Amino acid sequence: MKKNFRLNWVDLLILVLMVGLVAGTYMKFRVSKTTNVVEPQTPITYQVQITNIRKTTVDALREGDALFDDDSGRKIGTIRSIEATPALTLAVDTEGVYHMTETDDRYDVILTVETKEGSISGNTYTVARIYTLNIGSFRDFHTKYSTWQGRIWGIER
Amino acid sequence: MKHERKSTWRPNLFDLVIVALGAAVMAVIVLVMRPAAANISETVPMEYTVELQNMPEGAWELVNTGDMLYDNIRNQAMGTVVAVDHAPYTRPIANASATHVYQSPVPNAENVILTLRTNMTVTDSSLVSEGGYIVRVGGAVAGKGPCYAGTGFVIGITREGE
Repeated sequence: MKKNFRLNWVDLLILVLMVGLVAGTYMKFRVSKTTNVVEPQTPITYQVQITNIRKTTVDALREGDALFDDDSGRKIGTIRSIEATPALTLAVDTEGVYHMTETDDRYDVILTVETKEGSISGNTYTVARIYTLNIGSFRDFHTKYSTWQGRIWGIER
Repeated sequence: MKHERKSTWRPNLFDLVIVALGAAVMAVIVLVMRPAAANISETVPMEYTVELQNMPEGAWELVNTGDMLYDNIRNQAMGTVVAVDHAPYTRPIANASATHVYQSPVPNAENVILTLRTNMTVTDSSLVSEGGYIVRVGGAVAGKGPCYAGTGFVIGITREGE
């Protein structure tokens, strides 16, 4: 008896889909898992500078508030201390000379932030796996109650 | 003479594969489309304050308690007005010797300060109004009411339990 089974293009398509599904499942549950080897757990303390903000924003900051990176939404530490001083802004006098000048109703703030989910590799400090602390960099931050742009100001080594 | 045609269809391997794939796709669709699990922690009535800046003088008199304020960009309900106030609109300016920067009032302009009440969805990282507006002090506001609109910032939130 002659067997008349022949593979057509629909059968081939289904085979390709099945191979894709199997490969995708393998990549998802085996390969990607092996890349997450290092669990960050080194404590890191760092400072964030916020400039020229209003009293209302200062009042919305509290010690113990969780700090989040605006872009990723990840928690990057807990506020341990808040130091607010009258804001200094750049102003120019009639002679054309610049001065750092105290400004009414505006404040500069230094936040000290602690995290236990840090990792240190050489001179690179990383928080929450992906957030690298680069002194001098401006980033958008938020807590549950406030949002502002800040600058990484220092890292305690 | 009438011939009766006998059905010769029998399920083969690929028919079974197609049925299995169809079932898998349906299962995925059901999983994706089902309502989100109760990840939302709680909804509590809260008040917060927004300041619409550089409004025409006297604009605050157009605001009535009970007005619903909407986000003018995403059309999200921000809350119901429960109190209205106004304050001078100021801009920073240095004195001639640049030894001090003052907040100088701008003529014919003022800030309209609105206290809003809404049922807020509270999570670990955010407060979200009933309409989906994320409320944080310092956050930009583009608000519109029945006959007024303006831009400014959130300037205060009453924390839960305070």
